Amino acid sequence: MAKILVVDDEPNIRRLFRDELEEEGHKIEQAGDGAEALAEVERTNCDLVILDLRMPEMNGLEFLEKIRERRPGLPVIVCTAVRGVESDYELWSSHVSAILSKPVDLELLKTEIDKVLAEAER
Amino acid sequence: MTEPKDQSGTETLDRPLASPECGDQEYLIKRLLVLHQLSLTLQTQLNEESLLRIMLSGITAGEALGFNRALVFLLNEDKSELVGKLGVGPINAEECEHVWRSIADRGLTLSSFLEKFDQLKRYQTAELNVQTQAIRWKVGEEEDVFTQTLRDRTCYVVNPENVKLVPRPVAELLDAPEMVTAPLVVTGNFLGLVVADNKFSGRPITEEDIQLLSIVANQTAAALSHIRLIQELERFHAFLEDRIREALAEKERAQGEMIRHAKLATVGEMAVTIAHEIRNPLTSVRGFAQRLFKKQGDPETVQAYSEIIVQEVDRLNHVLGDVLDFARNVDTRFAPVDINEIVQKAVVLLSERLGKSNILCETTLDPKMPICHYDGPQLSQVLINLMKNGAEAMKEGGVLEVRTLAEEGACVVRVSDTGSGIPPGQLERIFEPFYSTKTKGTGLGLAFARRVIEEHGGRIEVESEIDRGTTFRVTLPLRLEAPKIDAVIESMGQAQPLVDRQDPLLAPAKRGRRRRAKGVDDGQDSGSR
Repeated sequence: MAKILVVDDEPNIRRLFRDELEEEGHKIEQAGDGAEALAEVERTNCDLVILDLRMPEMNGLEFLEKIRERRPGLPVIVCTAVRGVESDYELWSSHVSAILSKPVDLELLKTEIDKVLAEAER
Repeated sequence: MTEPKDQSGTETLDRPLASPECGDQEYLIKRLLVLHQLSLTLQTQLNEESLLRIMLSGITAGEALGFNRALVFLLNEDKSELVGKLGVGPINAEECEHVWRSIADRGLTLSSFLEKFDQLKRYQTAELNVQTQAIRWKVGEEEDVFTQTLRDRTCYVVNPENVKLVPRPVAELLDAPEMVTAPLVVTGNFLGLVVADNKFSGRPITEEDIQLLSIVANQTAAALSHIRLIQELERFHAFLEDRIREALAEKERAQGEMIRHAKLATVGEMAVTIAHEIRNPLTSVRGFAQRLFKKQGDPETVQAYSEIIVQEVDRLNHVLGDVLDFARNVDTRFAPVDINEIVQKAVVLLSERLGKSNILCETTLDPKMPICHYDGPQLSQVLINLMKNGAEAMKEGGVLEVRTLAEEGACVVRVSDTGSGIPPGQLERIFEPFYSTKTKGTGLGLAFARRVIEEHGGRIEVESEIDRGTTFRVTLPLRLEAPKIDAVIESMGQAQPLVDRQDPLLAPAKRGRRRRAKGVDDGQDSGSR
């Protein structure tokens, strides 16, 4: 089981992911924007980040840029409401593991998490 | 051989101007008066066809020159051909008798004949005219009398000995033993020529007839040149007008294109934000509904999840309301309004809500505020948005101050709160459509405010200090008179309306706009902080 950081400025979405993923046995940390998320990554040494893109303060892309300097191999699953606005090319070149569109199907989210974690273990 | 005659109308006549048939002094004076009248009439014509018609009428009228028939030919554009334009007179002796008798029967004098001529349309279909118009004669190819008249710019008399010099179609049409040509010349330019005969009366063509024909032809040529100059000027004028119209249309098209691009950019931003504002609540609704199914045995969790779902659905509805509100108010209408009255109404409208939130509202109205042409209902909504924003920043209560100020050349409204303040990094973004620092709201309240104020040609500024409060300052230019349309268009261009007037989105919006105009809309929470 993994330590997962959920980054989203919507408290309800953070709670949704927490409730669902904790049932799967994961340990969930939360952050409301990119700056908070950076601090959490440092503090918790998490295994995986679920990242929203449109957030106040520091948005998801800025977070990705910074986290690649500090933790180049940290798996990130992007969860975005506006797929295609931030170009997929930009996202993939930041080595994201998966891109999911909101509203996210929880089963799909869990499948992706399992895939990413299995890949990271190899 | 034809006999050249001096055609200059300005030279003195080399013999007395007396009719061979009538040496009577009274007749001479009368004839001169008629010629004078004809000359005046020719000079005042503005239409080529009526000019030619009047000339030929004068040439053929018994009171004036008294020829039996007259034809006029004009040079075509490349000056290679003489084209038959008009023929006046009877085609044969019977018709001649009929025409002159009917004129005599009606007691027509030359002047009345000229006036009535318009009504005597039969000349148009008269055989002579129809056949004249069918004639085209190439000039300069033969040594014919038309070419000679053109080349020498002088009158020629044709008699039975040299009748073969007359262009064949003309000779066949007139079939007269004697005829005379006179050039239409002005400042050396040859415009055409006139041919006249006395076939039916058989009266010989006199020196005096030729002189008079020459004078009338000269006057006609001057008038014709005058008419053509005017026509040229008119064509040039029309050409310039067309160019101006084209330039204006091009400018309009370019402006439209610019506005469309700006609108697309805004619409793109709007679509992204709306997608964001809708898909996030949908993520919660979908996710918690998925989880609800698994948690049926856990009433506490079921209740918590149900509450979240209801809350998120309300939020979705709210987003839609904001968007509709924003799209609705595009039609700015200026009318005289009292800003103080708008402030008072807004305060009354919000007083209950402010009281509940433990907020004291202080209003200071400048009695010198002038009545200005603004959009009252839209300004009301702006003020309500600003006041609600302030109230939302004071969760623990506080003081909301609304003040009006009559400044030089401007009406100013200030809305201050003692709330949490806006972080400096966010200050410049709060007026962007769909930008919100609150967890709820679409970020349209302040965007709407800015758009309305800019459409008024004014500005909205903000100052804020964390934990001390925020002040919005709205400055509107004095509009003591109804704004000119140009100014309105200019301000619209600056404000980049989100939806233009032809936009189908606007149809329901316009209905909403009218409803709003009746009273102040208390709106839903449309603040943006």
